[in-house]
Amino acid sequence: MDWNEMQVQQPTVMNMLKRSIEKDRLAHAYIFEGMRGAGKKAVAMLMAQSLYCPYKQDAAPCGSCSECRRVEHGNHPDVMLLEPEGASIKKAQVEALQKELTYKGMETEVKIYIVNDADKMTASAANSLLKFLEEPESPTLALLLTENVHFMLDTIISRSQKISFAPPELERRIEMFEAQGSSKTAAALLAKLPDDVGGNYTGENSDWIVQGRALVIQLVEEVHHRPQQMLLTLQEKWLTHFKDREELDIGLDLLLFWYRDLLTVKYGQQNLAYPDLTERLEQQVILMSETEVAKRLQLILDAKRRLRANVNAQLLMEHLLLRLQEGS
Amino acid sequence: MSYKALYRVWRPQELQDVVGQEHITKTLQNALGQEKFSHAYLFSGPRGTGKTSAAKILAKAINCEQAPVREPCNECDACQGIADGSVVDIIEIDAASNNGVDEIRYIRDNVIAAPRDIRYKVYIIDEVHMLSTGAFNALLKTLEEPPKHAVFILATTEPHKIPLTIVSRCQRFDFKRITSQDLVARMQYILQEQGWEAEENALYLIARAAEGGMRDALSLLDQAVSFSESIITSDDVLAITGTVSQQFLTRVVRSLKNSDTPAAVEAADTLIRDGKDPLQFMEDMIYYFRDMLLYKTAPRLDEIMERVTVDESFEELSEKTDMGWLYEVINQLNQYHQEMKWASHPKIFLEMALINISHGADSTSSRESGEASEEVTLLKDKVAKLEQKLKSVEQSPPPSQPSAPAVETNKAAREQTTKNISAGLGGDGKIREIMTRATKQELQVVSNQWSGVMKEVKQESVPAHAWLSDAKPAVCDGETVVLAFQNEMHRNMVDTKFRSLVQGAIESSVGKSLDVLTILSGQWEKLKEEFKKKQQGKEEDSTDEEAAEDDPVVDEAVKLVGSELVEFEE
Repeated sequence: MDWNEMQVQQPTVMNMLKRSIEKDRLAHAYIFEGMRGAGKKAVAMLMAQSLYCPYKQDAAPCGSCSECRRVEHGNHPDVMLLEPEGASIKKAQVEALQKELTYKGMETEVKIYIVNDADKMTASAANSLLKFLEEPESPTLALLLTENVHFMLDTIISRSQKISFAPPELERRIEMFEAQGSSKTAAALLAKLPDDVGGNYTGENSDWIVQGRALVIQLVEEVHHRPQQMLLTLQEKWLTHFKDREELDIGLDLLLFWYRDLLTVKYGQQNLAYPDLTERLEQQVILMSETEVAKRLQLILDAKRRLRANVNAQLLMEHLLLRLQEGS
Repeated sequence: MSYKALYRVWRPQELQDVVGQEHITKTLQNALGQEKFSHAYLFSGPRGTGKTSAAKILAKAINCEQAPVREPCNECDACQGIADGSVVDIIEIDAASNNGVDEIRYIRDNVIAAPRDIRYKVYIIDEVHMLSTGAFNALLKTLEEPPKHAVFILATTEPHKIPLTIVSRCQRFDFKRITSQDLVARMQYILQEQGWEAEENALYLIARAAEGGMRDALSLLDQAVSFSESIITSDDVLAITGTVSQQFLTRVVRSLKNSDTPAAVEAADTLIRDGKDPLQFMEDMIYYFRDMLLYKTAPRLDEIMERVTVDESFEELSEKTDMGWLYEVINQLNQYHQEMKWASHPKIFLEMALINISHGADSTSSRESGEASEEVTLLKDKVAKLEQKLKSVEQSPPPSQPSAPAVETNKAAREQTTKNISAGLGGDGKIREIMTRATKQELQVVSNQWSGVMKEVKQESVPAHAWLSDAKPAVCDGETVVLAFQNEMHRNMVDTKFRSLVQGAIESSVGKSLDVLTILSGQWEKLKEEFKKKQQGKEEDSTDEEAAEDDPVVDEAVKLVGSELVEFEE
């Protein structure tokens, strides 16, 4: 990913950083906040390169010198990356980082540390970060990346400059997936899924998504027209296709997109997730009022939340389907 | 990196610079002046209100060579040594990283030793809420009776986590959130010193986003300075804070108020596209409604408004809104706001919330204003329509055929209706006539309620529901609705057996009685095409003949199919 490419994708963010670098007003701590796939990590890497690269033009790093390449490959001794160990970032990790930062930079003046998924820091880890985030002993640049800034401590947010990333554009993503060999219908779905999920099902794996999609269509049809069959389909096909928790989560997403499409059709907007089934969507939408569609959206979102709380997958789905069917 | 963040550069150096905490600074100044300061202080309050700064100033002031003084001189060796960190007797401890009993024991052992360069040893324990229970208890005895030369200052954002035994041994000072006015004044001072410029409104926006934290405000200001070209404008600030302009909010609120869901959802779309934070948006909405509520109760109390500056559209909007609705909406928004943090698709969640609220608005407003008035308007409508009908009947001789046009003025309809049709089945002619009168809005009304109609029908009779299930309202003119069927038999059944039932269901869900006509969808498509063509032909004719006049036919066509489908060809 190079600077100019990011400039096109995230113009506001890049302008902000560029001006800060040019004016030599780079703060000592930033929070990069935005959806998965918005390019936060790429920008963090670019920032590091820009700081070290001897051949940079304006703010854009050259990307080919040894400094840039080492940053890119994660081999630069003065760039530290902190990532969750297991489910969270532990206090010991932050302490190790803190200790590392008391030393002078190996090769450079400024040390950079990047905390990925910064919202996953435990309470004590986050609190340990506070003091040296505010007044680091040696010059440092902290880049905290997060998808969910609301889970971070107020006290951390107030010590850093928050930069919000715009979500990636849908049309561009659809094109990207099509270029990677997904069919048009699959690409429309993949583009709406989060980046890491969508990325796993391109190319040869896209069959799985296509099958899942067919299942969703069948299931929705049955929920609204042949309710006596839906539980059988659920048992025979759905649960065998969406096997574990992550897969089921994707399945629920696909279902969610269907009902979201109903709204889209209702308002005559663009960008359907199921673009080839406009007719069927139109048939269904006439049977449901806006509030009813909204209600169903809420049911699915609720189900997604419960899924995270370790409930039995089959019971969850049965409950959801019955609720969807009666619509309340 | 030579550059330092504004909030570090402009950390207050004297008590009088600590903004918005007069109740604390005054007490401390007096205590210092009379040398009656305590041996243990607890500073608590939200982030960015000056706790650590006050602690540092206090440490300087009691050790200042000119003591007793009300403010540190910042010139003597002691003050400067403390400021650059070269004096070892001021010990700043990050309790979050050193939260065990061992670290506290270390303090306890060292506190006995007399200070080296200055008069008092000062322990500043920051983020003290992170100490473990053991550590707190180990601290108790030392905190109660420290040696004469030791002073403890504890600072925390979460005082409720501190054991009461600790709190009772300290003098506690609660720092308040800093008001917008104070924040703005301080920012203006800094801007002036630095030689920067900013729009006043931009500063107020920053102050609002900072929510009473000076550090937040200065962070944002810092960012704004980096981002802006020369002068800091409101747009710069909006881009940085991820909030939306008041105009945008007003627009969304208005569409919610008018139950214009498509517009509200559209707005949500733009919001996400611009990379704004949906949660922040929801919060802004809550404050907007809160301010509206406030404005309605006490219009003159401008200064307690949180987010809104009162302008014309706000005044107008708040006049039209009633309190019941506001309570309801704020309640709902609060609930969604809670849930939203956990939602994995914030955009869809936001859309859902907006839809629910705008529909809630519909039902509650009718409930609030009393159903009576609603009914009265409906009845008035009906009476007016009846009168119109009566008039037209009086003017023209009674039609010989039931399908003949009743309205004199409707030229197109008269030309078209030639076929005689039975009253039940919708003949082409009659439907054409309806088409000329129909409007898109009327159809929308019926379509929106169609699911309700189906439900009603199902309650009455299950077979009727089955027969009706492939039907779809095709066109409606406010008096008659045409249903398009896929299947001949379905149409016949509904037409012959369940006509009254369907009509009843429509009346109760849509709220007015409508005649029902039926048609096959194939036929309907044909009619539609024909009608469109004819309209275009008509339009050409009429532009030839009466070019100056507004064309009613075009209006009709626009009303029927929507302006996006009608093309004008001269």
